[in-house]
Amino acid sequence: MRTEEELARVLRTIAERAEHVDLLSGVVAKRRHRRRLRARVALASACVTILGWGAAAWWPSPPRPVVGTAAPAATVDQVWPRAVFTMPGRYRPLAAISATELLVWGEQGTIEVYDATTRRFTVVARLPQAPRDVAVGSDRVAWLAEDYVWVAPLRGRGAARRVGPVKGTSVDRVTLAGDHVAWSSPLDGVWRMKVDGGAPEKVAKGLQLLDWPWAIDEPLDIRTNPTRVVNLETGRTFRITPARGVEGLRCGPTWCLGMRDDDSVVQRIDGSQVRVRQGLRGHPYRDYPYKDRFFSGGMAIYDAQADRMVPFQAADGGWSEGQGVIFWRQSGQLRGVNLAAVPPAQ
Amino acid sequence: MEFEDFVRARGPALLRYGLVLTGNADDAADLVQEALLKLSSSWRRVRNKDDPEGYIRTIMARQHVSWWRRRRREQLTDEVPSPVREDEHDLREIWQRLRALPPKQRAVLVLRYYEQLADDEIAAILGVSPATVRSQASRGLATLRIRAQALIGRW
Repeated sequence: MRTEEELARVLRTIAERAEHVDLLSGVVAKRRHRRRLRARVALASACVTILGWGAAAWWPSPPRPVVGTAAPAATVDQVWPRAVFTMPGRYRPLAAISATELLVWGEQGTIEVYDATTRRFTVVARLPQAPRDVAVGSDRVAWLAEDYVWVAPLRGRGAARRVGPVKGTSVDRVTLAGDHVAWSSPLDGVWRMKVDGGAPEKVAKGLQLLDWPWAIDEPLDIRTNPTRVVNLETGRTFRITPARGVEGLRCGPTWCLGMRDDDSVVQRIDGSQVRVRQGLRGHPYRDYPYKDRFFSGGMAIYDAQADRMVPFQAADGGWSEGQGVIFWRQSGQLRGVNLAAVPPAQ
Repeated sequence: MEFEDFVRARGPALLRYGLVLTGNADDAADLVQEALLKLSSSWRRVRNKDDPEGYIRTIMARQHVSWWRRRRREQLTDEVPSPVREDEHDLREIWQRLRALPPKQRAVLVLRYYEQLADDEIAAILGVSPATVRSQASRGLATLRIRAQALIGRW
């Protein structure tokens, strides 16, 4: 979470980067253009044409970085040795695919699959900027760009295909659901569409997508608690009961993270198993736990199933995360933890 | 002051304001020039009676909101150089989120946190009620995952 002061600082920083433009020449050019346009419109007035201007939203493509704070003593290497990986520093992990594979962004403008066993990379698609919202299935990847979904096979040959356009304002979550891709926006609810095209279908109003088939009535106000988690396939609803005094809960189907005064609090959605686990916080984009199990923060990963806090040691204290993958720079390489490789809790 | 002198003196500040309003340099220049064109046609009246800078900033905020409602984007934003470098992770993340906000929400946040205006001043500029300003700001902040001190006062 950020503060209003940080927002003001970001705006000032960006504003200072405005480039010099010869405004007077531009104004003069616009004035001339208007005059010419008016003359042309007058000539054409007998023949009226109606132009339909379509509104176009766009989705930018930022990375999802976060910066850690305190450095605990132990490392993740001893607890989950098979989940720790190292790869060349020119890549950035986007998401965990399986226990041995990661989806990564290459600085040459590629989405690639990294196989940690063979240490080989396979190009999936080339695009101008790293995708912001990515969904990974077992055999395909989908991402949002402009107002469309792009779908590409993870293995074998096949170009990325564009489907859509997606419906909704400020769509910020996307997930693969069998032969469908589903997405949600904070204002418009959940939609889905077949990966090979077709018309978008509205699945739920007032809900935000978790991992398919789960959705939640996550409120926009970060202080407010959601009230229910819904299985969109069965329609079954599970009530969320906040533990006493806990605010801003963000939940998966089983586990939630919220705040009580200055404490980070983990609880089950029914309000049981309340645990204070300092330093945890929501992911900047997807506040729910990865695989309904893992939270992160304070340079540690918290496994809610095992009730275990597993610290990691990022060399300079800075680390980032994708879906199910946490990583940091170390001696020019990229080192990280693939949470899909963590075995089930005992 | 002549119109040309005003543009030379205040142009850079207007471009800065335009950049945070629109999200990219091309749209910012377009917005400023469009607003200056309007200002130039009423310059004699405005320079003597009113505050030209306040006047043009109001034009820009309103123009920005209405443009985005009906204007087709003729170029991909990716083709316009970003003011944020690839390695400025934190800055880039919040900037991209800000750019993706609906135009009215972004305008409210810019007026509140960049222009440092009160909600009733923002309401007057955008021609909406103060309650709408508050709700737009609240939605925008929530989407940006920003702690709103005014809303929660604690974290």
